[in-house]
Amino acid sequence: MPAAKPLSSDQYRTEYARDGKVQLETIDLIIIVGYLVLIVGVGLTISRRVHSAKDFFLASRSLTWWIIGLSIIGTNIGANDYVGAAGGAYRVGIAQANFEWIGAIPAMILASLLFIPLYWRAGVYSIPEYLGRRYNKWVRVIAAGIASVFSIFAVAVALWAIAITLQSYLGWPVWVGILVTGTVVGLYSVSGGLAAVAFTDALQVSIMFIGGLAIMWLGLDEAGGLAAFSDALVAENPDHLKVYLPADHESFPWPGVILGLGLVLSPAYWCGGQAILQRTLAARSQWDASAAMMFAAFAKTFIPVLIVFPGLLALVMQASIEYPDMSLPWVVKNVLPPGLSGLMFIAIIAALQSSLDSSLNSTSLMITRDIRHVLLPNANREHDLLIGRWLTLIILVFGMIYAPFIGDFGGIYQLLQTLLSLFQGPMLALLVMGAFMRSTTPAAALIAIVSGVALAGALLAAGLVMLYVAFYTFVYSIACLYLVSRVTSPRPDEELVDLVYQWRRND
Amino acid sequence: MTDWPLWWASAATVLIFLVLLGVIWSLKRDKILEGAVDQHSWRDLRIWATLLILIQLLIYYLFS
Repeated sequence: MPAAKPLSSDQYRTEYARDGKVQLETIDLIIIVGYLVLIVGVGLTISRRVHSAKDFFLASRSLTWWIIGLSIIGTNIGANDYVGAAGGAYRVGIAQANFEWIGAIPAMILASLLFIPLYWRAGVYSIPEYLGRRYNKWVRVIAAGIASVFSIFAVAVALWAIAITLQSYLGWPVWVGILVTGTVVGLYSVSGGLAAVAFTDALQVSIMFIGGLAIMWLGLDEAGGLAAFSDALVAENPDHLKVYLPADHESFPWPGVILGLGLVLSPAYWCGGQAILQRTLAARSQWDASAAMMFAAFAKTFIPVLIVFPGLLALVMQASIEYPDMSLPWVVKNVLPPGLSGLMFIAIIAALQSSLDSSLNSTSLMITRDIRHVLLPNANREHDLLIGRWLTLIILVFGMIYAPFIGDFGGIYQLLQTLLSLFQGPMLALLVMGAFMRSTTPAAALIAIVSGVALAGALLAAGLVMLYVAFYTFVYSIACLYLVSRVTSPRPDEELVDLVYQWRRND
Repeated sequence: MTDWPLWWASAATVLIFLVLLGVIWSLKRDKILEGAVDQHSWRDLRIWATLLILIQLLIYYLFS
């Protein structure tokens, strides 16, 4: 296996563009233009149904399970996946798929059967709103503020990732890619809200699967079949078909994968991530909401075919690439025929767009309702739709302005993951204790979220691996919630009906 | 943690999924089907969750 070099953002931008460039034929360009027209058309058609804030943020609670399920996957597969997962698989093998398996499935099942019914029955628009009703308004504002800041950064990163992909495939300057993407996503996100986002996500995920399956089919054919593929892979890379790597592995130690990713980061993301869960709150029934997450979990099981397999294929085919992250463009260039190259290109762009539009909509919701409604209690609620649309536009424009500078920071994906580990542990602790222990108090929640984030910052500054930071701060926050709750006053039992699981089961 | 043997990972994975199975089947059927348009067995999400867990166990068995 060639030496895997860490790739800075600037290197990525230049190397990916130079060596990974894919020659698109006329048929590819026709498919790409057709896709863009289709996405905008679907989004604008749906936007005609939007007449209120509930239409905009929750699609009038009308979405069915399979649309929501596909949208969840579309939201989940983001910039880091398509751009980095194939590269990760090239370096460490199938262990990369832990992010889709142990690092997702258990948490998705818990979300489906325990947390989504709780949120759905509580009738909330957002997870911070649930925390606000469970604890108090300041917990709601702090949770919404932290999630919004992260999400705004995520918007800029997604725009940047799309722009460098467009630069690589089409040779467009980064600023042109940002402008075109911002315009396309903005057209349907600002006008159509969550319904437009969910339907376009579903379409985008379908395209992603078609593209991914085409790569697998043609790639295995090129490699001489599945058995020949496996033999060739492990001949020089004996650990590349092992899902767990040793505990002293530098980037994928198995204790970190199970304790940090599987037990903390993943449940925090799937049971408490606003962008993910917002579409389940828009379901037409509680069962549809739960079934959507279960359907997404089945789809998630097969996601490695889309984002991990190309990295392994590049290794088997002895791709002449200098950096692991160039493995996917190399595969697209060398395996797919004209037409399918365009489709795969669309799949990558679709993955990035579906994360971008979801971040836009959920951030707009949290600022409009969870921050504005609390800090400005006399604000006119009838203006929510207008404010939501303007906020979506403002966040998008901010992201477009900020995106070109993302590459200058270097290691932005690592920065995003690090930011996540700052608050995921405390947030998950608040959700778990709030949902299952009625004795957990608002004062304990406030202390836990503030001190937990501060502890995470200190641990990261001390150089602890991100996955362990998430685990330790989760354990600390649970202990903090329990101990402080013993000396402070809980909310009256009658205020916790439909908010604490123990009470719901005894309905 | 750096000296923890690799087989613990497989054991922990099996344990996580078994605990999850226990949690799933402790939930009441009527709560799972709340809001469903009918009460057909295929709408019982506990069954689908169990199938999903079996697939995961198979995957981890094959690649461990």
